[in-house]
Amino acid sequence: MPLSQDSIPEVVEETPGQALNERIIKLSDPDFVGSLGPQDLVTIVKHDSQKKTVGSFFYVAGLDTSDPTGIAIWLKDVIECLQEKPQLWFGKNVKFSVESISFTTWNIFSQCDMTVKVHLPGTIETSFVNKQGKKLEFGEDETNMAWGEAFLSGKMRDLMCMVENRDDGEVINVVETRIYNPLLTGQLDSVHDMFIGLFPLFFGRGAEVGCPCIYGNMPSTLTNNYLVETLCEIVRLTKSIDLCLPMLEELKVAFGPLLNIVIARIYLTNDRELDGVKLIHDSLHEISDPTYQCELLLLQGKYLLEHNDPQLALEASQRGVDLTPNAFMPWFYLVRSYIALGDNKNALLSLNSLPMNLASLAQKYQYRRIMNTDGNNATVELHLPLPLDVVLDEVTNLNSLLVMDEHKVVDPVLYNLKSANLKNTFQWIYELLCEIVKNLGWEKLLQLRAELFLMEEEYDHLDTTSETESEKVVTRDIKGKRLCERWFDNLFMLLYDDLRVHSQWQSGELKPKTTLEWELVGLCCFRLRQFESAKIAFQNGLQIRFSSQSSRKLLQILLKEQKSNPSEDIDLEIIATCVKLCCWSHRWYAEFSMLLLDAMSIVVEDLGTTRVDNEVNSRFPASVSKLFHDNILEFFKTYTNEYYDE
Amino acid sequence: MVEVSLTVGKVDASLAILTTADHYVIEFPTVLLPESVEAGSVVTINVEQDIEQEKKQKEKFQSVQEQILAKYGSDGPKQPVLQLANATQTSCVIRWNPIHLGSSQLKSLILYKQGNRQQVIAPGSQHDSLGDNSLKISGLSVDVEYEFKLLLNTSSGKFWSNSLRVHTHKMTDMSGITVCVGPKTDLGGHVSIDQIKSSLEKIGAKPLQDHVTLETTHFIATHLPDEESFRTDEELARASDNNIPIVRPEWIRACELEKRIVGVRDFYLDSDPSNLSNYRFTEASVAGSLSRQTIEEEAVQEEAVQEEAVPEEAVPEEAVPEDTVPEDTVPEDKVPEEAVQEEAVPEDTVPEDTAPEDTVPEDTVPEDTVLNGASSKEVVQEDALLEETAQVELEPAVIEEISLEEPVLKEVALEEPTSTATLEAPAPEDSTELDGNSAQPQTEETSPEAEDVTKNSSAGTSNSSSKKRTRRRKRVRNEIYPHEIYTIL
Repeated sequence: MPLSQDSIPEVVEETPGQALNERIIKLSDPDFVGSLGPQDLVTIVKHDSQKKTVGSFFYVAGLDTSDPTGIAIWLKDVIECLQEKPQLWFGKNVKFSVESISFTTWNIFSQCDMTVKVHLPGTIETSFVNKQGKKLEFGEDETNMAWGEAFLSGKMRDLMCMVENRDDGEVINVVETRIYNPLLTGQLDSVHDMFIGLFPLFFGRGAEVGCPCIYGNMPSTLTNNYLVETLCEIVRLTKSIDLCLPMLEELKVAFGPLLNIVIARIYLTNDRELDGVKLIHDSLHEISDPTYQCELLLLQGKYLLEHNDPQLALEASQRGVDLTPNAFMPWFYLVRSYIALGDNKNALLSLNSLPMNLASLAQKYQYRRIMNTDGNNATVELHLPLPLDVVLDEVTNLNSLLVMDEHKVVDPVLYNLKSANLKNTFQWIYELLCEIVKNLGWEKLLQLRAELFLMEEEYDHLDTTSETESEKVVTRDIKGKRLCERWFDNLFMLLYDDLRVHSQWQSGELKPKTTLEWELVGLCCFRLRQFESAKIAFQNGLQIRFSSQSSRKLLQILLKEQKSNPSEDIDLEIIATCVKLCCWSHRWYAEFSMLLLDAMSIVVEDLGTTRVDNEVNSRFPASVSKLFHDNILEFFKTYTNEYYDE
Repeated sequence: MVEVSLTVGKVDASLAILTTADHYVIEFPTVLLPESVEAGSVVTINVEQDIEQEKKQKEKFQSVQEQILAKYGSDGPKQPVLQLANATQTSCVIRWNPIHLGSSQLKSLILYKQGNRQQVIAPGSQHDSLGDNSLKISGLSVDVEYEFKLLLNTSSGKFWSNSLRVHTHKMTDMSGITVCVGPKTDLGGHVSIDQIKSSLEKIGAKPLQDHVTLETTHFIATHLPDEESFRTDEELARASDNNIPIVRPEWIRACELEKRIVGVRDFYLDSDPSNLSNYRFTEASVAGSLSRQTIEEEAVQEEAVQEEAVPEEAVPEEAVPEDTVPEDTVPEDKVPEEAVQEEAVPEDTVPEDTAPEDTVPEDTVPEDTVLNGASSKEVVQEDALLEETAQVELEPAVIEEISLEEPVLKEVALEEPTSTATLEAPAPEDSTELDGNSAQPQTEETSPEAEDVTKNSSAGTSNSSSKKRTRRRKRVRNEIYPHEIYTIL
C-alpha cells in the first residue's frame, strides 16, 4: 500500500532532536541494544504557520537499508505525505512545513548507528555513531560495506522479531512503528537475491550476532545464529532454494561439512526431504563436535516427530541428550517422543530433568522504546491517526473504549490464570504437560506424579527417624523417588487452575459474556489442547466484535484442521480470518505478518492466487481487497520465484 | 580406573552430598547409596570406562541411523502416469496409476488442462464416487485437442506426469458413447436388449454396460423413475447421483438414423413422446441401416490409414491407455478392418479414439475444400450441433447451467474453422506436434481456457456445480453455527 499521511504514527518530542539524542545515549546500554539492536528511527522537525517548531518521531521496520539514496527517496515520500492537505494534528487542522527529517538504523556488524538526514530544500548528509556516541569516519569501501551490513542487520531484525514472537501472535508492543514487508522493499534487486548475495561475506561472523531463542538455550554457532535463521526464513518464504543452494555449496569449500547442517535444513524446509534425510545421515559421520552433532540430531528428531515416528525420534533425541545434556532442545524432543509413544512415566521423569534454569535465560527479540510513551507514566504525546484508505467497519472502527470496558468487568477467575503469562521454554513445556493430562486425565496424572516424585508429606515423614521395620520399608520406597523440581511443581498448580476454568465452563457454571471473556476461555482451552472447545469460544467472542488475539488463535486452529482434514470450506474460513487480521495490522501501521504469509501460503498453494483474489473481491469492500492483494497476494505472485499457480 | 573415597554428608530425601579429602563436593542420588549409609559414613566409588557398553551404544546408534536412512531416505515419489480411459464429444475420462509416494508425504495432486490448473484432486476434493484414480472432465469442446497433466506435489518435491493429449470426438464419431442398461431396468415391450446392442454396434459406440461407471455417458430407462425406483434400483440411483442423463432407448436409434450424436432433450422420460415416433426400433430399419453403416465404416477406415502416421509417433502417451481398455475398443463389425489396421501399424500405437475422430469423412472433406470460401456456413452448422451436445451432458435438474454454458460454447464454435483447418493440413499439424505448444494450438486453446474461467467462477460442469451447491449450503450452515451455540449458552 502506498504511504499516506494517516498511515504514519508520530510521537511528539519535548524538544526537537530529543529522540535521536536519547537513542545515542542508550546505545551504551546492553539491554537496549541487545543482539540485534533497536528498530529504525525516523525523526522530523517541522514548523507551523506561526514558525513554531515541533519535533516528532516514529519507528520503522522492513525498509531496504542498503543504500542511503534509497532511504533519502523514502524520506522525501514521508515529507510529501506529511505536508499533504488537509493536515490533521490531534484533531485540528494545521499547516506544518517540514524542515528536516532523519532516518537511523543500527549496524550489528560494525556496532554503529547509521543516519541519513535530509534538510529541506535539498541537502542530504550521512553520519555514523558508535556505542559511545562518538562520530565515526569511514572510507569509501568501508562505507559501502557498512551499508551492506546495515541491510543484513535490518532484515535480521525484521524477520526475527516475527519469528521470536510467533507463539505470542507477533504482537508488536510498540504501536508507533510503521512496519513494511521486508521481502517486498528491495530497491535495486529483490530482497532475497540481495540477502543471498551478501550472506557468504558474513557467514563466518554469524556466531557474533547471537542466536534465536526459539531453540531454547542452544549456543550461538556458525550454523545456529540469527543470520542463518534469517536466511532459512527468507528462502522458505520466497522459495529461493535454487538460488541459495549453490551459494551454500560454495561456502562449503571454505568452511567444510558444517555447511551441511544449513543445507540439510534448507532441504527439509523446502520440500526436499529425501535429500535432507540423506545429508543428515552422511554428515553425522563427518561432523564430530557434539554441539554441531546435536544440531543435526535436532533436525532429524524434528523430522521424525513430524512424520509420526516417535520410536526413531526417541533414539535421535536421546543421543542429543547424551551429547549435550545442558541443552534444552534435545530433552524437549525426548519428552515429545515419550508422549507420542504413550510412555507417560518417562515423559514426566525427563520433563523434570529439563535444564530449565539454563534455558529460561534466553530472551526474545522485541522492539523497544527510546522514551516511555505508554500508560500513565508517558512523558510524550502520541499521534495515532486512523488510516482511511482501508475501511472494514467491524475491524478498523473497533471502539477501544468498549474493549477497555470489557477489561473492567471481566470475571477475575478468568483474568488471573497465570499460565497465560508463561513465556518461551516454560510455555512449551506447559504445552507438553497439557498434552499428558489430555491423554491421561488429571486423576491419573496426579497418581503417576505421586509414584515418581516425592510429595511434601512424604518429605516430612523422612525427617522423623524411622524406628519400626514397616517404617523402614516405607522410607526405602520414598528414597527411590525423585524430588520434583520447583518450576515443575508450579506448572502442576497452573494446570489445575486451567482445568478448573475449563470444567466450570463446560458445566455451565461459568458463563462468558463479553468477547474478552470468551477469548480468555478460548485461550485456556487452547493451552489445554482442547482445540474444538477453543474454536467455539473464539468464534462466540468474534460474533460480538472483532479481536485480533482471538482471530490469530482461531487461525492457528483452522490451520491445524486444514492439515488434518483439508477442505475448501476451511480454506475460505482461513482467507476471511486473514483478511480481517490484515486490515487490523494495517490500521496499526503494519503491512507485514509472517503468520499471515504462512497461513496464506497454504491456501494459495491450494487454490491459486487468482481464485483467492476472486474470493476476497466477492466478499469484502474494494479497499480491503486491494490491501489484501498488495500486502499478501502480490507477495505470492511476484516474490516467490513462480512457485505458486495463478 | 579411578577410585575415590568420599564422606557422606547429611542424607536428603533424594540427594546426598559427598565430599572428598581434597575438597570436591559431589551431589549424589540417595537411591544409589547403600541402605545402611548415614551422615558420616565413608563410601568408595570406582570409576571405569565401560568400553564394551560404549561400543554397544555406538553400534546401536549406527543401526538406528541406517534404519532412518532406509525408511526415509531411499524411497522417493515417482512421476505419476496419466492415461486416457475414454473420450466423447464434450468430455473425457482420464486415469492414473496408483500414486507412489515412498516415504514422502502428499501435499497435493492437481490436474492441469492446457498448462493451467484445472482441479485439485487431492487433498480435499470429494473424490468422485465412481472412480478411484480416475476423473471425468466435462464441458470440453467438440473436436478439439486438449493437453492434460498431473502435478504431484510432495514433501520431496514436485513431479509432473506425462502429458496426455486428448482429442474430443466430432459429432459424427460416436465411439465414446457408453450406454448402460441396469439389471433392474424394465425395457417394456417395444425394445429388446439385443436391439440396443445391435444399434450401439452400428454407431460404433462402446459395448452396452449393465453397471454404471465413470465412463457411462447415458443411462436407459422407459418409465419416469419415482422415489421408490431410486431406492430399489441401485444403478439408476448411481446414474442420477452422477448427473448421467437418463434417456429413452429411442435416443440410440436416433443417433443411428441421424448418423451423428443427437441431443438428449427430446428423449428424456418426461419429454414429449411424439418426437419419438421417427426413431422406433423396427426389424426393417435395423437391416437397412446395417448396410449403410458398413459402407461408411469402410470409408472411415480408408481415411484412418492415411492419417495414422501422424499421431503414431507424435503422441506416444496415448498408446498407453489402449492397453488398459482393450475390450471397449473394437466393435464387432469392425473386426476385419481392425485386423488390417493392426498389421499396418504394429500393436497399440494408434489409439482407437484418435483414429476415427480425425477421419470422419463427411466433415473433413467439405471443410478442406470450402476453407477459403464458405467457411461461415460451416460455422453455422457446427454451432447448431454444439447446442445440442451441450444438452447431451445435462439432465433436467441442471437445466440452469445450460444457459451458462451455451454462450461459451458458441464462442468456441466461432474459433472452430481455424482449428479444423489447421488440423486437416498435414504440414502445420506435424510441426505443432513436434515443438509442443507453438502458435497454432495456443490460439486454439484460448477459447477453452476462457470457457474454464467462467466455469470456475459461475456454474461449472454438471458434476462440479452440484458439488458447489452443496458446498454453498454448508457455508451457510457454518455461519449460523456459532450463533446457535451462543443462544443456547
